Amino acid sequence: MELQTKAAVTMSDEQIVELYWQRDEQAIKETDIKYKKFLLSIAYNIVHDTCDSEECLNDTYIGAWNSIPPARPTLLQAFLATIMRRTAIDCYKARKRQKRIASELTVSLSEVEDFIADDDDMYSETDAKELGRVISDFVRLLSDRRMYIFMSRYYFARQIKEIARLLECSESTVNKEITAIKCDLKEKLEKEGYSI
Amino acid sequence: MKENEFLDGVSNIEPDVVERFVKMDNKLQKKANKPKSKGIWLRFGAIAACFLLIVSAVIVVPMLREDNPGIVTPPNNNHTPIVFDATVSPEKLNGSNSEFIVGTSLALNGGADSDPPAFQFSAEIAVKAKVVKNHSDKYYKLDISSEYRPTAYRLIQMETIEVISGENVPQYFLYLIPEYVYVDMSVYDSLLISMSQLGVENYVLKNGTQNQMESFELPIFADYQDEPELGNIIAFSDGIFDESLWQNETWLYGYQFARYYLDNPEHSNLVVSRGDSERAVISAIKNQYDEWYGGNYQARSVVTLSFTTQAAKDALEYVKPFANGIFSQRYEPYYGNGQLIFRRYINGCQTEETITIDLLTEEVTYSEVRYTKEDMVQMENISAHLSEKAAEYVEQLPIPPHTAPEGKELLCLNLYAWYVKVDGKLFGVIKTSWRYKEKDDWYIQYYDDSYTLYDMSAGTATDISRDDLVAIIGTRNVYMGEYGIGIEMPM
Repeated sequence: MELQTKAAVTMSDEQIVELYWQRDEQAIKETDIKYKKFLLSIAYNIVHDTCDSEECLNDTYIGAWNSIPPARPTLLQAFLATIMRRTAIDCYKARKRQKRIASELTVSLSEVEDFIADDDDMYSETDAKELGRVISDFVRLLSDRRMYIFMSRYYFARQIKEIARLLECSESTVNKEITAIKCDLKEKLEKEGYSI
Repeated sequence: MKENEFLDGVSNIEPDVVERFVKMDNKLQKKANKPKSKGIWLRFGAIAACFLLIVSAVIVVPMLREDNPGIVTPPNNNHTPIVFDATVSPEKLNGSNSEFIVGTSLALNGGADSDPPAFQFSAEIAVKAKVVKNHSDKYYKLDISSEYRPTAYRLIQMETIEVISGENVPQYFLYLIPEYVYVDMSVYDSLLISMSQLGVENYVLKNGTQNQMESFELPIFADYQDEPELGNIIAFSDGIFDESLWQNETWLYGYQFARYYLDNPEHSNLVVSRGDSERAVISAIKNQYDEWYGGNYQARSVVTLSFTTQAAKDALEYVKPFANGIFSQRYEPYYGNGQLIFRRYINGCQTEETITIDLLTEEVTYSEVRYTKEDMVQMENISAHLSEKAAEYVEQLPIPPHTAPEGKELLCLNLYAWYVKVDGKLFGVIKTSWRYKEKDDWYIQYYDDSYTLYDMSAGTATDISRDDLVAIIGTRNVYMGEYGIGIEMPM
């Protein structure tokens, strides 16, 4: 009898988290075995550069090492994805200041240019958290499918083609749904008092 | 809004949203990367399409309603919907005789373009069990959060014979299975079943046959995401794998696919082959877990309500079924440390009041909106209005406001009601929703809805536009997508 197998033997999330708690550096190795590919894909979509992606990956591992403990994430993959995304965004911003940008994130941001402006006016961290809460509330109300499209495109900066492949639909369908989501998000943000 | 502000706002999306995405992403990646055997699938699709055509011809044609041109009354079969079949008169609810109605559809799962069932034996709670009793009634979840899952369920009481994976697995449990795939499994000596946990104790469901709300003391389990995957139920007779379970009419669609693997074991990703003994399959399941998890698989534990803090005990007392309205219960393993979430239902209708207990810290969180005894006295019974509306619709099907029914088939027509409390004012909302499909295409469907708002302080009932409704009560349970466009289904 042939059993379905996974490509690599990996530890469970709980075990890896336990290694972090025990301050065992094996935690980083296990994280690398299990999530390297996934994390690199996040970074690459945002910074579009292999070297920068590798740097982001290392920073993500350091971030995880520094935050577990005290954190004890139940879904390690999501926890790591959050750290990686923030790291990659910081890298993206730094590169943008140097005007060397050609990433999928730039493309995805251009899709929402009708409610963002390209300048560097200051705003506080509290503002960003509040906006994060508003966007989270918006996403929670989306259907699974639209949630998946929104997060794929604007959180992980995935290509439309890739989203369409995973959802087994056409790129034009994804584009149509993105248009609808943007429309609803714009309305939500306006209602919440954001100037657009 | 500045670009960086938007970027940082998205970076601050809250963890539960990211977790929801990651879970779905894992599932889709797994599915997308699974090898596909297109040849057999195309043949299988053709067989399924023929089957559907025959069933539809037998059942649909006699039920065409001449007084509603353009609208076909949904027929009652395994692939098509029911309208208003779940009228509940929960006499136990605060002594009232109110009614709770919800329409439902069985049509959203299935159809020639649906995905074939998967065959992995999931690593959740896995047992060897046998059927003790089949409950004949239809049940519905108290959940109106998704338009994609308004499904009728059946309950099967099972006895655990052996635990393959899982901690605290009880001797008896209830297995919740969508009615569209329900079959009598009592004829088999034993079943190997993989389940996820749905309720722990006193889970409340609507009994659509007996017209009442019911709670259960036995734990309730369901398949992962409530959609049974054929490979998660394996039947045995005389200790040998019995594929006749999968050959049942309701699962025939999936069996066409499974048969390819059984005929070609060299390409199979099932944990079972023809002629396998029960012991061999159990062993294969355990081996599969070991291969996936490197011999370190930590079995999922069944949640028990043995709280130690007074706050958690008080919360459990508060949410006791049939006191303080009804609270339904949901187990969320992926939020924080794992949470139990209770929601208040009044007259069978959802409210926004929730109580959450963290399973590790036993911290209790009460929602900002709470309903008081005074509220309960003042509240109009919107489920009675729901009944009236349902009676009207049985006489004359309503016309959707944003969708032209020509060239489309009605899949389901649902009625929902819920309560909202805004700034101390009480409201009730009734939503009528339609789902159509293209006549020759199961994949493209259309959604439409309309709303009636009951303002209990003003004593008014108003048919209201979605925008006006959202301005008063917010977006909870309100569809915010675009009307009139084809939506690829199902997801």
